[in-house]
Parts: sequence; C-alpha cells; structure tokens
Amino acid sequence: MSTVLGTETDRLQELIASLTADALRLDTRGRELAVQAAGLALLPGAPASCTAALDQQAGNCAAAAASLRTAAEALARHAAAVAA
Amino acid sequence: MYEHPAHGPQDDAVRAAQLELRDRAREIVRAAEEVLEISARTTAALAHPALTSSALRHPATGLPAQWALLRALTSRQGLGFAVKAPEGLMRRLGQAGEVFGQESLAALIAVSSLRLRIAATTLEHPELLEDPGMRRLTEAVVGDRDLASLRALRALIKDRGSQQALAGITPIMPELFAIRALLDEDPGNDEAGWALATGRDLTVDPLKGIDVQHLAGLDAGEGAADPVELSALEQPQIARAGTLLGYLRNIAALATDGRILIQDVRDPDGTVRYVLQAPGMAAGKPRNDSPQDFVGAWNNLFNNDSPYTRGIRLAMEQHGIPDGAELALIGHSEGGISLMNLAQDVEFSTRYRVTHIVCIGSPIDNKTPADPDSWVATVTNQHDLVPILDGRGTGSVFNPHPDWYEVDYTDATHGFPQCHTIARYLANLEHDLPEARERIDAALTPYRHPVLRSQAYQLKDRAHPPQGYPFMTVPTTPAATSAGPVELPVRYYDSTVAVAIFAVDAQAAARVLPGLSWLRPTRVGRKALVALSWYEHRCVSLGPYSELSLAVLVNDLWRPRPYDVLRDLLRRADVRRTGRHVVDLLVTTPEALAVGREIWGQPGVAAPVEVQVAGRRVSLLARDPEHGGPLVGLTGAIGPATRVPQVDSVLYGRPDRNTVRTMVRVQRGMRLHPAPRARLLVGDSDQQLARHLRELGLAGARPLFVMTADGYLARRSGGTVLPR
Repeated sequence: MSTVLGTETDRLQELIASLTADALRLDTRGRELAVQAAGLALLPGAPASCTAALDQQAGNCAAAAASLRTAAEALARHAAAVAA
Repeated sequence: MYEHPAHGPQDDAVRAAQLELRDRAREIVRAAEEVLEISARTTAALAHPALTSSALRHPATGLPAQWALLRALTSRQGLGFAVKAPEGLMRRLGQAGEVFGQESLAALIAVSSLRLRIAATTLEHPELLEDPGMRRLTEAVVGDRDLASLRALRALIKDRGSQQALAGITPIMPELFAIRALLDEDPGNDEAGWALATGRDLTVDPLKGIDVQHLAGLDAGEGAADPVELSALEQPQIARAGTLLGYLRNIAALATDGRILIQDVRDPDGTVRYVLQAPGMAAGKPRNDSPQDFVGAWNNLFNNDSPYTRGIRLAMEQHGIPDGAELALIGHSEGGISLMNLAQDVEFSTRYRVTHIVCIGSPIDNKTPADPDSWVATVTNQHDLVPILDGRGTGSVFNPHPDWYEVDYTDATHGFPQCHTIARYLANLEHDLPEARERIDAALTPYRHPVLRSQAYQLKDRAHPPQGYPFMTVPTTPAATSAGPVELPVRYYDSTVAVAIFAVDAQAAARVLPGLSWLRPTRVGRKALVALSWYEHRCVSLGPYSELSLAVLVNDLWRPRPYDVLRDLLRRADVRRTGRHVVDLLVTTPEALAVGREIWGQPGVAAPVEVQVAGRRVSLLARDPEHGGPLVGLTGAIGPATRVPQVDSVLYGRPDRNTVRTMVRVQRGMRLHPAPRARLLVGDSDQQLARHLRELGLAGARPLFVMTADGYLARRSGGTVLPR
C-alpha cells in the first residue's frame, strides 16, 4: 500500500490552509472567551481575578490568531519561492 | 444540560449560581481543548519535513516562515509549545519550555475553567474559603506558587492531621490536582491535568505522571473462591429479607477480610434472583493475599479484569447461579468497582442479566455497564476521598452517565476515612437520606423478597494448595473405632512438640516393658534411653488434642543387637527394626483415646495435658486423670538449640498378645537442645505413668537432651499387627 503525499509545494499549501483555519478558530474562541468574561463579571460567586484572567486570555487568543496569520503569509511567500 | 445531583439543604439562588458557573466552566474548557489542538498543530508545523527541507534550499523565505511560527508559539501572547505535539524534537522543546516555567495559553484557559469549578463548589462548601488554612492552600495552588502551596498544605496537616486535612479539601481536590498538574514545571503530569479538567479517563497519576498500570500490575493472581461458613456472631447479622439497608449491613458484617456474600431471593411467583454483595478494601497493608487490598482497588479502578472479578466469577460458578439469572450487584468502595467491572463485561452481561447495580463510595464514573438496561445508583459523600479517584469529584462539570441515579451528599462528618466506612454510609442512608434510600429500595423491588439462601465465599488473589501439600496429600482409608470412624493415616497439620530423652538404668527400663524375653531396651553402655513426649496437636484430622507418652527405645524385635538403634536411626522408617515402645499414653479427647488403644495398640488414658514451648523455655504438664492434680511436669530452661533434620519414628504398642507397629512420618526438622537445665517433677500419684517414672528413677532427673518443634507436620499410619 502506498500513500500519496503530493509534492513539497502541495504539503506547504496544506500547512498554510491549516494555519489559516486555526487562526480563524482562535479568533472565534477569543471572542467566546471575551463574552464569557463579560458574563462572569455579572455573576455572583465568580472570582474577579478569574474574570480578569479570562479577559486577558481572550486577548491572547486574538493575538495568537494574528501571529498565525502572519506565519501563514510568510509560509505562502516561501511556498511561492519553492514553486518558482 | 447536566444538572449536578443535589442532596441536602441548598438555597435555590446558590444552586442557580452553581449551575451557571459550572456551565461556563464547561464551555471554557472546551475552548481550552481547541487551543491545545491548535497549539499542537502549530508546533508540528514548525518541524514539518516539507518546511525544514525546503527552508535549507530557500533560506531567504524559509527562515522567516519558521521564525513567524516560532513567534506564534513563544511570544508573550503566543500559544506556547504544546507538550501534546507528536513525539520528537518539538515535543521535547515543549517540555523544556514548561520546565522553564512557560505556561501554554491552553493550560491557562483550562485553569480558568477549573477556578470557576472551585468557585461553584465553594458556594456549597463555604468552609473551604472561610477556613484560613484551606483558603491559603487553594489560593497558593491557583496562583501557581509552589513553595506557598507546600507551606499551606504542611500547615493544614500540622493543624488537623493529614487525614482530616485531606478530607477537608476533598470536594475540590480533583480541581486542585488538575491545576497543579497544568501549571507546575513537570510536563509528565500534564496528561493527568488535562484528563481531570476535561473529564476524560486518567491514565497516569496526577502528581508525578506515573503510569497507573505500574501499581495496578502488583495486583497479581488468577483469583480463587472457597465457600465459607459465617461465624456464630455473624449469622444473626445477615439480613433475611432484601432491602438496601439489609444488603449494606451484610457488607458491614462481612468486614474486609476477602469475603463476599451471595444471597438467593425468591419472589411470590417462584422466580429466584441473586444479590452479590462485595465489601471494599481492607485497611492496613497495601497488599495482602485477598483481592480486597489497596493494589486490588487500584487495579480495579483502571482495569476490568482482576483477581477480585475472577474470584467473584468463581464464587458464582460454585454457587450454581444459572445462565440468564437476574442479578443485583451491591458493592462498597473497591467492591463496587469490581462489580461494575463485571457489569461492563459483555460476556458476563450476556450470560447473566445484571438488572441493578448499587455502588457506595466507589469511583466508577469511568465505567459503563454493558447492558444499557442495567439500573445504576451511586452514593457518594463529598468528603470521601475514594470516589474521586476516577477524577470526577463534586465540582465536575461533566456527567458521563446522565441516566444513573446519583446521590452526592455531605454531612457533618468531614473526617476521612470515617466518612468512607460502610458504617458511615449505612448511617447516612438510614437517618439523613431517606428519600435516596426509598428511591433505591423502590428500584430494587424485584429483590425485596425473603432470602432463601445466604452463602459467603472467601476470595483469594490466587488459589492455595491443600493444607500441608504435598506431604499431607496422601490416600486415606476409613477405620472404625468405638469413638466413630476415623481416616488413616492420621494427619497432624500443626503441632507443638517437646521430646525429652532420658538415660535410665537399663534394668529399670526392662522392668517397665512387657515381660517378654525378646523385647529389650536399646543400651548405651549401662543405660537405656526413654523418651517422654509432649504434643499439642492444634490441627489434626482427629480433631485437636494433646498427648503425653512415655516410650522406651527398643532393639529389633527378632534379632536384637547392641547399639542397634544408633545404626538403625540412619535407615528409613519403613525398613527400620528398632523403635520406641510406648508404655504409657495420656490423651485429652475420646477420639484420640480410641485410636491410640484400638488402632495403635497403646495403653491410653484420658487426662489433661498442657504444652507450652517458647524458645529456650518449656512448660509441660500432665494432670492426674483421677483428681486433676499435677502428675508429671517439666518446666524451665532447656538452653540453646541447634537445628537437626527430621527423623521419622517407629512406634510399638502391645495391646494383647501381639505387637503393633506404626510409623510416624514427619516433614520438618526439630530443634535439639543439648544442655537442658529443667528437671522432671513427678507427683506422688499412684497412676501407672507416675509409677513407671519413679521406677525409672526420673523424679527430679534432668533430660539428656530435649527436642522441640513448632508448626510440626506429621502423618501416622494405621497399626500393623506383628506376629510377635
């Protein structure tokens, strides 16, 4: 049995697609966490420090998503150079 | 949506806030899981072969791409290396990052979820925050301050003792363990931290990340079960009708010595159902020879097949439970886990119909019965440490079994292990949880009928050979005596022996023997040897008894030669011609008396005999059969000893006109005390033994040497009547 891996460029394109999709997911999760943090701020019994931490983690998700997009772009330039 | 079961007084507002916090905690940990997956994929991308190989050829574009990925992982707001990345360099990098204190974003989000779970639990258990010691510990763990956590735990233990301290924090213990595992610098326990946070099964321990199978592997053995009788004290405690409290009282009566109970109940239409009742692990040593021990509990927690489950299957076979029979399985602690293990076995559930399972204080949340129709109830005290061993505690936001009837309560007793005992659960169900008890009893209606039969089974990790195997495993033949039938050879499984050898005047020895010209005492110079032998037979096929015998060492009955005995002792008993001619015998039971007289041809008399051997001292006494006063005694020091090999014996008796020869085969060696100081005391009784001893000049005599043995094993054949 053989596995078709495609060309090196194909595999780089797959990586780019995966990173882009993950950046989108991180954005979504970041927004969800921000909503959760806002909701918790109004909820009795939720520690304030926990709310603040969640808020920060939501921001980190957005920042990480941006970093992933940057990485995907850099990878796209590299894939083009490889293909050329 | 999962609603955490509530038993005990709770304010509606508190309950609503708890549910809200737990719902949000569950949502947040789902986000953490996704971030973890993204982190793992990004870590893997950095080391992807297509990127690493092409970057070598095109460094101008390849290196910036790799740098961008590295920044996405390691910048202050980055994802962090995932220790979950595929095995290889990147995984090692991730582990190294954790060792140097870099937390991953996913772990931090998961910790936020766990903190909300703790907050929800503290609404129900305000003592966790009101108590300064517990608050200090919780805050230190959540704040990832290792030294402060250690100090807080130490202070808590110093203040109230380790068990009380642990019981106090039990409602939030899984969350504290998870936070510690996710935040500490040890990458080995991350897997356990994620399992606790996300409600997955534990595969490593949460403290050190050690594979749970290492400890589980110590619970070895094929399992064994033997039917046993309940003691006279236990019998009245066994319930005659099936109720939850009755079954739990049965488990309490069995204790934790390895026994289980099977009861047959018959309903009015004649259907017989079976109730298996299994206690938990024994306190004390982590390993014993029954499956009810700590390593057994651990094994059952993570594996379905164990000596406990195999033992229960064997007990069911012996009980004769027919295929297709309906079963209710009731277990406490490890017993509950083992029964649930059986219930989730497809072959078991196909063979029998497991209709009900009730587990008290058992960590079984990672298990599911094979038969979806099995009705399951669990009862858990929130301060009980044992049920949280599966990773699901009071604060869990996941419910793997929404159809189970769960009783999760708290009472005033926060002490562990008290709150884990069957007695405490029994008391709680009887007095504090009437609603839960009635609900479970209602479900158990098919089993709430008179008990037809109760049979206990002793479970073992492995089957043991028969007592005394192989020495005692010999064919036996029945023999009739005036005291009833006996089996020959007579088997002595556990005896204490003291044999005192005296050198006596040979003429005197000849006088105590039957007056036969050919029956001569063995001489050593001018002396003959006599043996005064005390035995306490604690476990013997005739029933326990004690004995004292006086015997003279005699030569070959047909061709006596001087010094025969010394040469003959080196021969096997079955070809030996010399032996000990028993001239007096005192025994303590009618059965021993009958066998002594009628099978072995010895002049037995019933009399009290007391035997105590303790190292270098003996206390041996025979009492007068008439008035009970001291007849003969040997008490005092017998000096140091050396071990000597076992020597089988040949004994002679002469009941009438013939001599009877018997052989005693022994398995173990004896201790030889060559310099005894104790002296023989002979009472002034007119009893034959006392007369013989006086005639032999043994009143006040010191033995030549004494031989002793404990745990003596021997078997004595039937007598052979000799034409002599």
